[in-house]
Amino acid sequence: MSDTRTASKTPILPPKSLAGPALMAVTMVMTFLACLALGSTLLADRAASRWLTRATSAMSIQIVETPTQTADEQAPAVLRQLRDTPGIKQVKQLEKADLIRLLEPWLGEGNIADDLPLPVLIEITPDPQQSLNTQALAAEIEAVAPGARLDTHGRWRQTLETTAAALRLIAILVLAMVTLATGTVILFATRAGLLANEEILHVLHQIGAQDGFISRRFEAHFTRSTLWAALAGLLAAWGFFYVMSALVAEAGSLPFLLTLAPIPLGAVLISWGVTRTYVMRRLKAGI
Amino acid sequence: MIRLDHVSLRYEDGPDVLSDVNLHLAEGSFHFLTGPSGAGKTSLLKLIFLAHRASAGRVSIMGHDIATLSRHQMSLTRRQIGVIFQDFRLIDHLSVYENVALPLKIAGQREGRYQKDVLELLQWVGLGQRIDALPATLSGGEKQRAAIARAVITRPRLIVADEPTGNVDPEMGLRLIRLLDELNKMGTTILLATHDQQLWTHFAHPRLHLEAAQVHMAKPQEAL
Repeated sequence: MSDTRTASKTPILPPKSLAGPALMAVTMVMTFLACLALGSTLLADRAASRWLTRATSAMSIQIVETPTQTADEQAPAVLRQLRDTPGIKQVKQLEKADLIRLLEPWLGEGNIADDLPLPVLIEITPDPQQSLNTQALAAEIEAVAPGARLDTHGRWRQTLETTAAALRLIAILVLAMVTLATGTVILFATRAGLLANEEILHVLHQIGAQDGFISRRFEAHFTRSTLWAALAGLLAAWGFFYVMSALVAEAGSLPFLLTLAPIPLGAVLISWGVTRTYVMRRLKAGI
Repeated sequence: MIRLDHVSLRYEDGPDVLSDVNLHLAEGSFHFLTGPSGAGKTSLLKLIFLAHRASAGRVSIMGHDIATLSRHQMSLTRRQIGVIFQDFRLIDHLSVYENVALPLKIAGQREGRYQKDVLELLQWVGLGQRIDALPATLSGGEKQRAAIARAVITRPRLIVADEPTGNVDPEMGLRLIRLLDELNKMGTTILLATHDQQLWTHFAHPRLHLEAAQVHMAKPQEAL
């Protein structure tokens, strides 16, 4: 009896009758795309966050001359006002030499005349432990020095925030499309599997199989196929981001790569949900 | 065991295949079902083995009113009915052993518990040496014996057979009916549809005759 197949190991539904390599290839590509969308968005989002942090961690005041006062004449009043304002950690007025160094890339070395009316620039470092009302500060400074303007880099921050939000939206749309495409492909594969095995399903029903028993055969096949394909897609995405780490160091870090790991699990859940829902519904309707 | 009261069956908008059929078969009985081709024998059997629902009337199997059964209860009731099809309906990619063990697997039994029973039954039906074979490699008689083994492995209370001898030679046909006869002696109710006059003349079991969508009791020796 040792050479017999007395152990029932053969799947009840013939694997060849259910979608195989083609479905796995599509699932792999979809998982790869999902990882790419999520990973790229995470990287862009984190970069935008870093830029935003830098942008909000420094502000500046520019003082230009007015018809009645030079910039230098207005500076002491502004500095006093800044020192009296809570929420400011550090105030630094840039030296003339620093200003010339900042302007040289645009005006050329040695082209800045001594009598050129340069503005006064004051760098402000807000105290991260305290909140700073920038609108009130801007009004107070203008009150003591009409030629002074507070620059909070708001325009850049808004552009960055808008770009980051757009990237997040694109990623959500890509993930939604990939989910829809994966679900649809699995649905069609399940439908084809049901049709291909119609005779077997009739026999199974006739000998007392319940819908759940039959559905589990399909679920087992498709979730297993999806799992392997999705893992292959994840590995491909990891490889891609590892190569990308030459450009963006964070792309190759283990914590970043691990954030993509739930995607195959999501693919398996989609596969299971679509298969079970469709098979149960079709069986109840009589295939 | 089987009770049909004023049962009619039609497919979609077609004519009645069965019309106002009344039938009562007691538990432990053995009946042949005869009738000309197209008379509705298979349709009647399908009502009894729960593959179809009646268009009108009441079908009661083993005390269950079929119209009131849920899908879950229908499955459980089907497990008590062994069906033997003329075309065997073995699953091609499963071995003889796996085909015969399938109803037990579906019923949730562990293989360790049923393996011995399946092997013994296969010996009993003369397939002890073919347990590994795939259906495509079996002769007609072997397929039919495998189908019978699958139908009886769960010790069903009712066996419904649709032309079980249609694809085997007369001698093999008689042997198969003797096998069913043995099961009947052990208490299983048998309803067997056949064209084969030799069978109902050889075995003294009552015969139901189906013609013009109606069933009536025929005498054992009455010709078609």
